[in-house]
Amino acid sequence: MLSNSAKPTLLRKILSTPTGAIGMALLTTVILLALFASVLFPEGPFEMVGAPFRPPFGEYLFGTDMLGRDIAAGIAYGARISLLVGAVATLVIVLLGTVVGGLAGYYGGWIDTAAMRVTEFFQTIPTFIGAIVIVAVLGPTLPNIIGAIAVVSWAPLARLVRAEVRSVKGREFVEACLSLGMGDMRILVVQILPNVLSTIVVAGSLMVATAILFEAGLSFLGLGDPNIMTWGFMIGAGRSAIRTAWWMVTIPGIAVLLTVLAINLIGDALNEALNPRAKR
Amino acid sequence: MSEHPLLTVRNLVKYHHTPNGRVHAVDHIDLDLHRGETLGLVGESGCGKSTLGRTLIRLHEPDSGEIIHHGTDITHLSRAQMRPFRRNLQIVFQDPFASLNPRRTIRQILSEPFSIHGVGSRIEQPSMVELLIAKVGLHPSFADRFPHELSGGQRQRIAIARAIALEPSTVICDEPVSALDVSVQAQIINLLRRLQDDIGVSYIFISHDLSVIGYLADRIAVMYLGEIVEIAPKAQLWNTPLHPYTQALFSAIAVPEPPSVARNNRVGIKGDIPSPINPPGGCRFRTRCPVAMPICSEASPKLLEAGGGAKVACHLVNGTNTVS
Amino acid sequence: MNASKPILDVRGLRTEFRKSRKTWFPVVNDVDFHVSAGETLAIVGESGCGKSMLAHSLLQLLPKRISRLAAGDIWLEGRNIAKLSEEQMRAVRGKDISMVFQEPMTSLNPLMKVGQQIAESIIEHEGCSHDEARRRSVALMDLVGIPEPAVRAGQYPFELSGGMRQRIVIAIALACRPKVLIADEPTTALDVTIQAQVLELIDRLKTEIGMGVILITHDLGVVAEWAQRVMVMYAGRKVEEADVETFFSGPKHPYSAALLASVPRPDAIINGGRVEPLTEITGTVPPMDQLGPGCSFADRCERSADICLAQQPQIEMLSNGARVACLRAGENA
Repeated sequence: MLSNSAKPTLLRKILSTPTGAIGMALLTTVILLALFASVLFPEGPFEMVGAPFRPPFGEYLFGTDMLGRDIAAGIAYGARISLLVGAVATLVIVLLGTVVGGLAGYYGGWIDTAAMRVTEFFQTIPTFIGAIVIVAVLGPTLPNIIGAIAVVSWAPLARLVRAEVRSVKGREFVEACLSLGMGDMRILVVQILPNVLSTIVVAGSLMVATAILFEAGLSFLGLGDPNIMTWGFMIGAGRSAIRTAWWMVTIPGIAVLLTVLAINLIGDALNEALNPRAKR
Repeated sequence: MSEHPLLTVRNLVKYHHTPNGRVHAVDHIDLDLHRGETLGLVGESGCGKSTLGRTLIRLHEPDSGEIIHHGTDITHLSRAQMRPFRRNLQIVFQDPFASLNPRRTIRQILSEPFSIHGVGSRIEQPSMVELLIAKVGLHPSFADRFPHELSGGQRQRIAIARAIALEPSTVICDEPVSALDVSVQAQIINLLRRLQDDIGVSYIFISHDLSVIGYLADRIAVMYLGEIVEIAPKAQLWNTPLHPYTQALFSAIAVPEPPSVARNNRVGIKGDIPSPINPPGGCRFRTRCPVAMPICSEASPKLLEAGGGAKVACHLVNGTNTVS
Repeated sequence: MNASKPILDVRGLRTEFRKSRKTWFPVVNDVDFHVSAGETLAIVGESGCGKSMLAHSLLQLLPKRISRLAAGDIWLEGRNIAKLSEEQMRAVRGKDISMVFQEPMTSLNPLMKVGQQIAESIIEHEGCSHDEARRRSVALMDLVGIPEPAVRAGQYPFELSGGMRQRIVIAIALACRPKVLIADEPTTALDVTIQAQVLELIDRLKTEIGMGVILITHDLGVVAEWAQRVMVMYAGRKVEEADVETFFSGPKHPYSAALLASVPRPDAIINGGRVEPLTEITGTVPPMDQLGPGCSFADRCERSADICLAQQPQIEMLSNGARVACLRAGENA
């Protein structure tokens, strides 16, 4: 209620919490690594730079794998893919979920019934197995992987958006718009969706982490794009040498862990910043 | 008033369908609203007064009956056909915290009526909005604030500004002062009266508070479980309430007078309001009525003339009237 | 009336809220009042005036982390309960002083049968057997006017109407025959005809049990009809106290007078009388953490003078018997 003289920006609010600050620091590191991968490792991640099985913290920061490829380079280039998959898949999920959930929640009736049957169908598919099947059938290319992740993940978001839209639609200010003769699309997009935005942002931020995990899982199972170095592929490749070269599995594993952790921390901080009621 | 009424309602029916059954929210209601008058609609929770208000301006779809606005039947118009009529039919809601979009500035909220109905150009609208804000007694600098920066009374002023932006002929006021403190309530009531003098708008003023209704209304309709049980000019209803339910409502008013001068003729009524899903047969008030007769459970009384411009739906009143 | 010996006597009560780590501000400031057995004292004011804070302070129900009872005594039949520990206070709540809240649904457990909820309260305070408690809870439901109490005792809150629920809440509050009942806006959520029933019930039980009632409300009509004395609060302070006859014959504090004049009174205008605009109180209630040194109503007051902004008015008894905190109340009112 008290109007502060200086309104803190969203970013400042996130940074003011310890979880948000840690998450932001970690994620920024990963983003910088991805951005400067080609500067730091101009030879690329597949180039054999030295002897195989060199342990970490020696000649090479993270050591080399069984073919003598620099693991640090793999981590840097893999970060690009992880972030790309996370961002694009989430974008698709949010778009699909918002459109379907928004229309279903706003119009109700048969549109709602139909949309909910469709989402139920997608929700009954075990998500990861569903993604495996899609990638196995369509072929392991990056667009297919992103598509597969989006297809198996959009339904819960659609249901969330639908529930939120329904509750906002019941508020009196929407009735006021109706009594002014405002059109449906304008009410949905201009009046209702901004009130649902915080929920979408929070759910979407957590979706990024899930998408990164999915991609790593698919690559680990050998369903990654063979022309691209990813963290999942590195873990899968290192699995057979885990007794002799632990770092081949551990280091990309830690990379996945820290990235997902960072995004989850930011998601929590976002939730606190955007929905302060949830805290009390 | 020779010209036809602003709003004529005939046999209006609106049921709500719930998992537990059909709620008789508005059950065969007849009503006229004249130019420049205030019609008070009073009743307790579940009597259907809010549903009636919203059905009148087609926020709810009526199940049957007719709503005639200025000679045009608007009962079955499509959304697009309805739009021009919305300039004339507006609503103010009870809760000023829910009726303004928290994500939009006051300027954006008050520009909406102008943009939707193509009134004023983009260059003119800002000054129109500021004029509108001044009209409801606030400083134009409020335009760039968000609703949460305003007090309840200030928000209700904005909600009223939105409703009168296009100078409508009819505004439904759905308990607009019930959520406000007494002193703020007085401000809003005064504002509504001043606006009526300025732009000649008619109000349908919905409230559970007979004192507020008695202060503002020219005519008063009393609702009980979806039906109008009595409708009369204010003075007539105040001095000689005829329906037993109206009498009970009046005796329940607590007047802020010294005990030595306050009238003490409480005719408290027993029991609770029955469920509107399964209202009693015959007269709906008979289960709580102190003067119920055998006929009250057999036939439902019609809303009939009872002299002095009053209409009452009660076997006791209507019976004696036809005899004498 | 029973004004002889107060059952509850509050002196100089001051409740503070935490503003920052070291600073506190008062939400209830230097309040004195008393209630006698068989008497109803109404506490009136608009939202934010501190009336609910006062009620919660009496039972020490405010969160300890952000609030404190900074000064004052609360004498309950010769015992100062302001000094009691949380443990000792628990025995007072519900037994010596009970409270009824505005919204009956939230003060009942939705998953417990209502009869059982009343019995729980009896067992908690009197430690009697379950059978005994059950018998007494049915008797209590009969006392508060619930038809077929034995049947209703086996029902859940959602099966009852709003009025019935509030009767159950009252039955729980009365289970141990408290000496004082605090009713915080007990009928605001109820319909007018039901409101009259509930207030009539509280009034009847007050004489039957011989307890004092503190009725917190914003509705001056309810005060006139059901209370014997009235106390008006503004910005955490008592600004006027009088018996209802005196008060409604002409309140002496400018705030009380404006409050009364802002209530619509149809009777005067019904038969052709001119419709006068209602009295408005301009401005808003000041935030409690930003009060100046003078009278907190001064900037909204029509009669305020320079002295009002500088000096805090003290409660003084006027010739008509009202106690008023206004520097200008003595001048031709």
